[in-house]
Amino acid sequence: MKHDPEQIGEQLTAYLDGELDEPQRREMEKLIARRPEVRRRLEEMRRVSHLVSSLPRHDAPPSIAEDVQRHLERSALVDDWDGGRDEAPPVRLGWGRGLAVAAVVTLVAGVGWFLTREGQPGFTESLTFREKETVSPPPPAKRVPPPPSALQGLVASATLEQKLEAGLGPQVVKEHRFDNEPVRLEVHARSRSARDEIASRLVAYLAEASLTDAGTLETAASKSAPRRVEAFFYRGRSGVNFRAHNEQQILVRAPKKTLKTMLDQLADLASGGERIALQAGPARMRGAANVRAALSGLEGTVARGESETETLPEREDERLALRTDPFGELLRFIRMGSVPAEKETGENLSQAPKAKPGPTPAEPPEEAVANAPMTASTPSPGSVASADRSSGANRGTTLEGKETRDRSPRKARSARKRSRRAKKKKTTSEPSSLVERRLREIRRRRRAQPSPASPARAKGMPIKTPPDAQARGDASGDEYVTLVIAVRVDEPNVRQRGARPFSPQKKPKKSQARKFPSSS
Amino acid sequence: MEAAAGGQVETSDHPTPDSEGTRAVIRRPKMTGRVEADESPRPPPVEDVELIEKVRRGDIEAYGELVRRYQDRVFNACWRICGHLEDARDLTQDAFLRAFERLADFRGESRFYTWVFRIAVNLALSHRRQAQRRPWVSLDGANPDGSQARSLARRSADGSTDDPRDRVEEAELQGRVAHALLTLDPDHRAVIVLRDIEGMDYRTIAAVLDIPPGTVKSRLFRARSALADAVGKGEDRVARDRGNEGT
Repeated sequence: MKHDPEQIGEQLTAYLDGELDEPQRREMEKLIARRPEVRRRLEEMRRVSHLVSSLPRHDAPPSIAEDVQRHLERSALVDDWDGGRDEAPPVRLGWGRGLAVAAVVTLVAGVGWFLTREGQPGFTESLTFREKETVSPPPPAKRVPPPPSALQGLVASATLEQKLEAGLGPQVVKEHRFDNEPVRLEVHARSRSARDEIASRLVAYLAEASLTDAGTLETAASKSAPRRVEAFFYRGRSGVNFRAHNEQQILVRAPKKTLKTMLDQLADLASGGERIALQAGPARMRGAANVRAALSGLEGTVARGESETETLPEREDERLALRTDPFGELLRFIRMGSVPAEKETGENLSQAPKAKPGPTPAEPPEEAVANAPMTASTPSPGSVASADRSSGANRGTTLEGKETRDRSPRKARSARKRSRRAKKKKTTSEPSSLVERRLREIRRRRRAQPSPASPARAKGMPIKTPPDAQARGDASGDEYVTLVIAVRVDEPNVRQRGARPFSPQKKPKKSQARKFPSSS
Repeated sequence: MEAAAGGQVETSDHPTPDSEGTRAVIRRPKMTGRVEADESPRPPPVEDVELIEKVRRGDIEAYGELVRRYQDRVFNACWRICGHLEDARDLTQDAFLRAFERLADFRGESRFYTWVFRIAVNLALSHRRQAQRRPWVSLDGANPDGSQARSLARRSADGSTDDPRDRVEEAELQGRVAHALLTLDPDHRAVIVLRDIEGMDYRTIAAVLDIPPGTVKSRLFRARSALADAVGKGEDRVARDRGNEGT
């Protein structure tokens, strides 16, 4: 054996841990017997090893597994709605969920049928209260397609549990996305307790402002509240959409004015050291003032009465140039991401009927939609919902290929062609099962998915200020912004703000000392 | 050498030489999972491989089972590497989430827990490096998570030693060791945590840290030497302080 102290030490370590083979071990034992300093060293290391191994241990917080599972389930739901991610394993719906889906579909179809039979105007609004009544199946001869609003209201009246079970729960599909990331209003809290407090205060504010949430969905659906915020619950978590491992997320859809007020509230909370940032894709603005500026710009657009002016450049290089200015881009995006209520009904959010901001948003189960007969002239809620799901932004065509108003003639022609082709295809090869239908839809959605560099909005689609909002003289009108408020804990950064501690253990390295000799 | 499933306590038969050079076997608990009484016959734990297969088929419950199986070990390793309980919790969760995302890459060449440990330790090391760039000081001094106080309270409660003075001294010593551990270089700390806290053998440590076994040996030697120096210095200081108090 070599007698280099370093090597002896390493061998001694291996000997202590029982990692030497037999000859090496014998040799080491001889050395230990011969040299007292080696024996001393061995004792020292054994003591250290024992001390470390006897350090107290903690059980992991039991919530870890639960949080991980919940996170994965939610991701699976989101992915499912977004068309799925290839790398994530598919989530299997259990018998319970399957039955629940079937129950909701049956309920929707049955009540829809009933509605059609009744054919009474305004019946949808009182649907909530009739839900538990016995519904007799209508005669097939009288079956006519229900109006879309009826179906929407019907789904809106489904309980949260039913929606969750049917996969309609956390309606994250309505998030505005940019580069496949939702627009997030981030609040960085200094600790977990601060995070929880902020989140609960925020939710309390939302509730106090008489803004609807999933828990009061049915009640709110019957009122036509001009201001709406939806806090989507996940598995009944109070007021919070989802408790991620490091943040609480609240999905909010609110008029800009409300968001500004909410931001003021957040700024108050932020005085305790919390920070605020607005993020859309790669662009991020930090600080309450900046975020407020973004929202002011947003409001300014509407206040000036601009309409049909917000178009992104057609040319790719111009769009690229725009991307180099994240702040401007973010502003622009948020401006464009705010969806007029009028448009929502037809294209994006599939929310309320046009005439009034009625029932709270919800999407009809596609199975029910697929079962419902459709006419060419009636915009189908299924197409609306699917188009929304596919991009989270305004899309030029619905899945059935219906063109939207604001297209150029050339694009409109091609859209009509596609529409005709789709209709032909639909008549020739009608999918035989729900699964097939679903798969086809996902495939179609994937094909239609805009690339991050050229979002659907970059096609020069003008954004209109709703005329009814202008007529009412309401500056914020029905311009809604959907975003995720994420209350996060960001401890390292908070620590960074503290004074640099005096650390006697950390002496400057010799090499550094040589490199930067003192002036004396 | 690797841990059994199901949160049982596994004992390792390390042939460890005693002070006279003769070999002794230390039966060391290697896992801090929930220890259940062995009175009633339990069904044999489902193998990790089976659970992983279930996860791949989309069963998230099965992944939850895997998390529960190893969360204590991963959590403790993260805690000792990063030195902060809250961070350890987040790191553990991150590690399991990342493991899930990369499950397609897991080919079963190593044990699942080795693989998760690799992810967790890498996360903890990078977290620690970031934290070193942004140093902070805890108001609790050398014991940011209050483990020393808790440990003292617990030991006082179970009355594992009779003399309160011994208990205090033991707790103080543990505090010094924990603090000394935090002063080590992160790479050295990781090695010593995996060996002396997790009881992994050199080959597994090498697999977790993706380094040759020879490097494990040399890092471990340096880590223990540094730790012995740090603890020794701390003891000298305490002895000096007590001497001053006496005079």
